[in-house]
Amino acid sequence: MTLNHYLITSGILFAIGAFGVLGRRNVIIILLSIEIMLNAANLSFVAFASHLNDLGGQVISLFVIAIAASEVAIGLAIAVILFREQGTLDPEKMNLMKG
Amino acid sequence: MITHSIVPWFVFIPLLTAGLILLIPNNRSRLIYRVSVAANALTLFLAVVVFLNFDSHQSGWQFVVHRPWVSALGISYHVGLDGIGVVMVLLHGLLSFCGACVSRSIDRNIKLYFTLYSILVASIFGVFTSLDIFFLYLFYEMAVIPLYPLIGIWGSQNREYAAMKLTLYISLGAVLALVGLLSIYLASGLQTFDLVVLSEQAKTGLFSRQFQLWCAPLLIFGFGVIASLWPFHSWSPIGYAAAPTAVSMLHAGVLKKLGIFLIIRLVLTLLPEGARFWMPLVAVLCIVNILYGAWAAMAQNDMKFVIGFASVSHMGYAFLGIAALNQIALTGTVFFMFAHGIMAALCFALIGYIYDQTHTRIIPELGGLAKQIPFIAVCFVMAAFASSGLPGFANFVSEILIFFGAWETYPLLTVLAIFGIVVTATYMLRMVRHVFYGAPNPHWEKLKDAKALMIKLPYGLLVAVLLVFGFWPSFLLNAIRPTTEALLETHHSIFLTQAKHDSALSVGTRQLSHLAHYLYHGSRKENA
Amino acid sequence: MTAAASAWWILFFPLAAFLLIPLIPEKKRTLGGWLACAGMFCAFALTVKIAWPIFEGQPFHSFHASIEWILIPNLQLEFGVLIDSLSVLMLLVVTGVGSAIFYYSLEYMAQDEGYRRYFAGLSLFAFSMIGIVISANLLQLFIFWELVGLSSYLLIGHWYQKNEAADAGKKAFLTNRVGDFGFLIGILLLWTFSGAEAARSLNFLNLNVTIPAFAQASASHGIWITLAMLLVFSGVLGKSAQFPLHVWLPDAMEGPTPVSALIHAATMVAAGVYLLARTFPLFSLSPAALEIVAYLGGFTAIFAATQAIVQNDIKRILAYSTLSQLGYMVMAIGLGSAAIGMYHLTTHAFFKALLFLGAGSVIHATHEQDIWNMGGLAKKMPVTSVTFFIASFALVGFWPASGFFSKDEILSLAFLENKFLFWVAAFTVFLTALYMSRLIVVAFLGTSKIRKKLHEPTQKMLLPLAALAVLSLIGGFLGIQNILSPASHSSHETPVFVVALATAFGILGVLAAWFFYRSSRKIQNRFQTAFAPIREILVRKYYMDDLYDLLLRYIQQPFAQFLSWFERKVIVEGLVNHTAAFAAFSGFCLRKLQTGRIQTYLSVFFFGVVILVYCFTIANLHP
Repeated sequence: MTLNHYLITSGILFAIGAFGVLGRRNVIIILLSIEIMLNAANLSFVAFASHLNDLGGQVISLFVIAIAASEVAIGLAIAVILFREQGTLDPEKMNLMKG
Repeated sequence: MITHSIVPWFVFIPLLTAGLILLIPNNRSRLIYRVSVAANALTLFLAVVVFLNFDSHQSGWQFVVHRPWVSALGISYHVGLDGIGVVMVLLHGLLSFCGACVSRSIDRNIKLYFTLYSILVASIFGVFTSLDIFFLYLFYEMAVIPLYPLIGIWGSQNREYAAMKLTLYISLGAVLALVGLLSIYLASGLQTFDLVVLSEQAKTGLFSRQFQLWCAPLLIFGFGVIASLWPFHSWSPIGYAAAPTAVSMLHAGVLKKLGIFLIIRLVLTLLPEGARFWMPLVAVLCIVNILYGAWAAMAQNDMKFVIGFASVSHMGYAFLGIAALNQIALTGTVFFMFAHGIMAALCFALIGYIYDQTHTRIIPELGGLAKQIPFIAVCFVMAAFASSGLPGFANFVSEILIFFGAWETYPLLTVLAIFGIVVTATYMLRMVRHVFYGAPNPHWEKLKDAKALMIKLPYGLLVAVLLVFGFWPSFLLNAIRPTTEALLETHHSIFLTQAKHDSALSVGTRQLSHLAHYLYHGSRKENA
Repeated sequence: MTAAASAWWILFFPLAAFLLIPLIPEKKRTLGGWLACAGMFCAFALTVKIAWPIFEGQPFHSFHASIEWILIPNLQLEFGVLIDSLSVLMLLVVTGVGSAIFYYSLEYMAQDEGYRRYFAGLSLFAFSMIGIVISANLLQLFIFWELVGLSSYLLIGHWYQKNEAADAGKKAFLTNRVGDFGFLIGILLLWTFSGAEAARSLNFLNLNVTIPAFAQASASHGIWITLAMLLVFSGVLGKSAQFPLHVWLPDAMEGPTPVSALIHAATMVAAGVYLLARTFPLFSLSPAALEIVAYLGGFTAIFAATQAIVQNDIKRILAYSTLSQLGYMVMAIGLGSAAIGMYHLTTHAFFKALLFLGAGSVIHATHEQDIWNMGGLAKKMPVTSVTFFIASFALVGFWPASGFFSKDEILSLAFLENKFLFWVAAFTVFLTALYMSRLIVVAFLGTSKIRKKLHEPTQKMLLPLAALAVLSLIGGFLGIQNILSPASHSSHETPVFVVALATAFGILGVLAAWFFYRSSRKIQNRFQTAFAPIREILVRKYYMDDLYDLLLRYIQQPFAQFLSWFERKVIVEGLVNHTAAFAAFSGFCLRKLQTGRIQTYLSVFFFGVVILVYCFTIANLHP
């Protein structure tokens, strides 16, 4: 398997995540999609690391995993509060900031 | 030497005070008041020490402290004072102390009030002492921030509108000026914000004439807004009328002078040819300032509006002094900033006292107050005479200097400016007549005069300062003179080599006459 | 003590009194009065010491001393004393008459609530007036000139709770300000003419050299000198209340009577005449300016005298009389003799101060100012009346009183120089006799209309009256005219015709008043209806006050209102609020973009990133 295979997979994963973020109507799904995008990025990092024989990429992907974990923790907490406040998880309804 | 690193403390002491006040519980209001007064007394003491230690025989920067900060961009922490700065620091020290003293009538949210007040005081000191354009601008913007809540929360009638208007105006002017400052930074090509370096280089023709011509108006009008140059003045009467007493005092007394101060420090120093080109236009506008403000003041019924328009009118003299571009007038302008600052603050402080007692500032509703509050009346009559330029008060000396200087450059405009002091006397005496003289109004029987020494102190102090410098102007003039002399030497050396005497006014008139010529002939052609 | 040091001390004593009086507690207020008197007496004593050579008949050596005040390159202003025979004469008048009036005030103001304030103001006035007299340069003179305006304002408005007094003070100050506006410009012009840029100076001694040099340099400079001197003269118009800036002086009578005597009769209003005499070497460079000065003086003399005839308030009659006499002095200087003008100033200070103090003691006793409510005072207050008669005698100019000599000098000068002005001045003598006799006949003779018992004031008020009466009577024999121009007395003989004519006019005036105001009510009424239109004009002061009121009401006030409206409507509502509205409108348009939906923002963000990536990478790869 060449580098290109990894990159193409990573690109497909990223696109899936992006469509999920933009298109889905549930905050939890959006959060999951963001995780997919992050993992797509991780995949490219690891692929490049292996290809260039440089451990830096793997280190960064570990960082990304740690940050993703904390991000999910905060994101889910916000989702819970949103559900309590508004009774829905539909992002269309969350327009308190509308000018 | 103790005075060696004294200047940074002018900013640090008020900032530390702001922090200290935040630590005091909100219900200990007397303590907060006392801490604030004490801190301002300390800065006043330092200002006096600096003034007395200032070596008036040399023209350069004194008490300099210089630490590199962001060397990549050429920003450094560089503070120091020249003859103009030391006078302004003394003025600000006096007024911030008196302003803190008269703030005893603030009755809600005292902690927040004094915190914001201290930040305001610190940032104004910052502008007067900074020798780095970056910090200069930073402090200038920082001074505007506390004004908004100070007027919006503790102000009187129409306060939200006034606070909004004032903040917007001054920010807008600041943005204009920022463009000018950044272009100076870029055009110099020296990668430095350091004013001392820039002004040294400017003497040798660092900036091209073309650059100076378009950069100077950005700074002149940008800073002119805060000095209420006509027609950018309309924030000022409304803002003063709404602001709480101490803020009106600081604003009319010191903040307005920032504009003039920065024009002298930046435009006259860095852009001499630009100044030369634009000053005739400023001279015409400032005559409009003087006469327009004076007559508008005559039609007002609210005491604060009268003084508000009066200060618009008076700033015209300061602009006239700059516009004349000679040493007599420039020295007079610096003196005028000091004298007018004290006088305007005194007027606002006294009106604040009357308002606290009567809850009105409408002139026809008052009358005969001299009987009930003789001390305040005496101070006010003195302030009124100082305002109308009576000898014995510092204002007279400064106005005379401006007149003598401006007479050399613009004789006809000076005649109009002198007429301004006749009109000033008219509206000030009219106010004295209808507020303090005349039959006593039984409604105001129970007014209390200022009796305790601490209450009398701020008013007495300001009156005394006006009189002392009115009789012995040399105290101040000696400090100012070498600086203004050195400042204008640059101008002389440049203009001796250059015979061109174009000005914005002459170019504008020529363009207009071209236009008229074109229109006239154009229409004739059509007729034919 | 050197002479220069004593000159400084003369200035210092009243200032010290002014500064000390506010420190005296209200309980010991009489101390304040005595302090003020002490300051004035010391000043008088020192003046006499300086003037001693003159009394001994020796020539007076003038001297000059100064200290630096403002020092800027190209502008050196100093603070100095210039004592020559002119300033010594004026100092003697100011401190001498001043001492008498200060002393008089001790009794006159004893019951007044503002006793200390009064004496503080009086001392401030004495300080500023002495300052004018000893000034060595024009700007210093201007400074004290403004300060006497201030003390005049404070003293006229002494009873500030009375609306008339408060208004009169304001009017006096502002009218003077208008005159000073011209004065200051005149000073600036003279400064410009006084030599090369670095050497300019406003010192009198210097100006007397540089300005003639400037005038001789080119013929076209003459018009500038004339302009400058006329501008300086506009200051005189204000301070000495000459037409058309005379309107404040009659109103200034709202102040306490000793103030009227000192400030508005003897000294301050004479400061204008003093200024003319001081700058006479400059005025004499411009014949045109002198001519205007002379004509305005002559006009004021007759103009004010006619108005004095119809006044009913005893102090206002005297005020118009002061205007008229000041007109004489100004005319004399305009006709080319500062010495004669100063001579009349001196004698006038004696008898006019005396008249006012006499009026004051009448007012003190009767609490009445309308002469028609008095009558028969001569019997009840004999000492006051006798001194009043002496002063009137001097005012009209009968031999041997002092006024005779000074006025005859003026008349004969006019006779030699300008026949038209001579006849104006001579006719004014008739009017003077008429209004003074009217005052005396109505108020002092006849039957008393006052019910209560009257008595003479105490010694404190009578002593100054007596002293001034002596001076008014013998002032013509003291050789005052020799102080300024030792030779002038013998240079021309007073024509007998002039003396005879003036005396005849005076007697005519007295007789006319005697017959008319002692005649029956019926004849008086018939006369009054016959002259009703003229009388109306005179009572309305030639409509001058109305004219100024109209100007203020219909030009100045509307103009101020217009600017205020312009500010409110055009600048604030038009420019500012429309700018604000524009900002609000653009915000209204732009906020459509802010949907508040996070997914919209994200879509924009993604597309933005895609476009940026495209621009930076792919587009750059294939240029």
